[in-house]
Amino acid sequence: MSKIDSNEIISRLIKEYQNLIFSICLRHVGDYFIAEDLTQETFISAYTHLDTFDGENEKAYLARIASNKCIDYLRSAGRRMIATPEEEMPEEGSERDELVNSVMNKEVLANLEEVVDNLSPPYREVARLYFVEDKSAKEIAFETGTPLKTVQTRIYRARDLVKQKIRKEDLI
Amino acid sequence: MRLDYLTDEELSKMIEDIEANDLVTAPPDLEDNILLRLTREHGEEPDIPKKITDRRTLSFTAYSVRVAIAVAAAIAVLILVPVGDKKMPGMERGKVTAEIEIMPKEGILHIVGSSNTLFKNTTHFFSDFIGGLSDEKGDEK
Repeated sequence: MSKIDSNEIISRLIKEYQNLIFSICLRHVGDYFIAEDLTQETFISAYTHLDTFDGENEKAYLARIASNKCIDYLRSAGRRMIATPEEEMPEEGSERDELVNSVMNKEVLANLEEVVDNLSPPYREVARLYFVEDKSAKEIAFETGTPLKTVQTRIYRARDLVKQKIRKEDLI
Repeated sequence: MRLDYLTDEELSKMIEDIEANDLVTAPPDLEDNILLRLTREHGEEPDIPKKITDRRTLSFTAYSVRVAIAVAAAIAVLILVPVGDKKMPGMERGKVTAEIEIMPKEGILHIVGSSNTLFKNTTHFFSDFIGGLSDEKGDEK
């Protein structure tokens, strides 16, 4: 498969399945930013292995990559954590049921929105437009009349602030 | 606890559940970020950055040409223009002034005489010409 074909295919796959793959990753890890990274990893992995893909059921193919990547991540993150006594550990079956059935993505986004609203200006406005209203940096620059570079810098900084706050909350 | 990979059934169930109840929008710019990472990791040039690189190369080339021309011009100026006390042979101020002053009187008179002769000849020519025209008009009458 030529590189041009691969680029076209991966662009189409991203457009079509990015929401689903991001939702799967978010369901697994419960962290917006880690889910974003894992979604990127999923599509990059799909691009790398496009030659071996039979072309049938793209959705299942991408979902499988995403889920496996997330579980790899959780395993490696688990290794980094402090060991928990056996009796305090959740049962594996209940955790898997929760993973498959629970509605938690919207809760994660609601928490993200709350953190965004507590940011100080000028990051609050940009973060709200970006994380809550799902507008791209270009759209924000156009709407607010701010230079694109400034918007990108503010998004970058806001992302760091939101990430820090969310992780601090998780620790508490 | 070791978390195992989901079975195909579990994965299908999760996809159905997410599509029905829990689908969220992916972060904006996700596609751009993935394509940018693909470019970095696989050494391909995406369309937009490639154009920027080309423009930069072009402007650098233009800049190099300009610098080369400026250097050549500077060298030429250094070679051609006398600097400090260095004087061109035969160009001393006193000698040039003397050469101008030394012009002989006869020569000047000759030039003035030639001018006068030329003036007189021209005047005669025009007088004859105008006189001729007047005679022609008188004959017609």
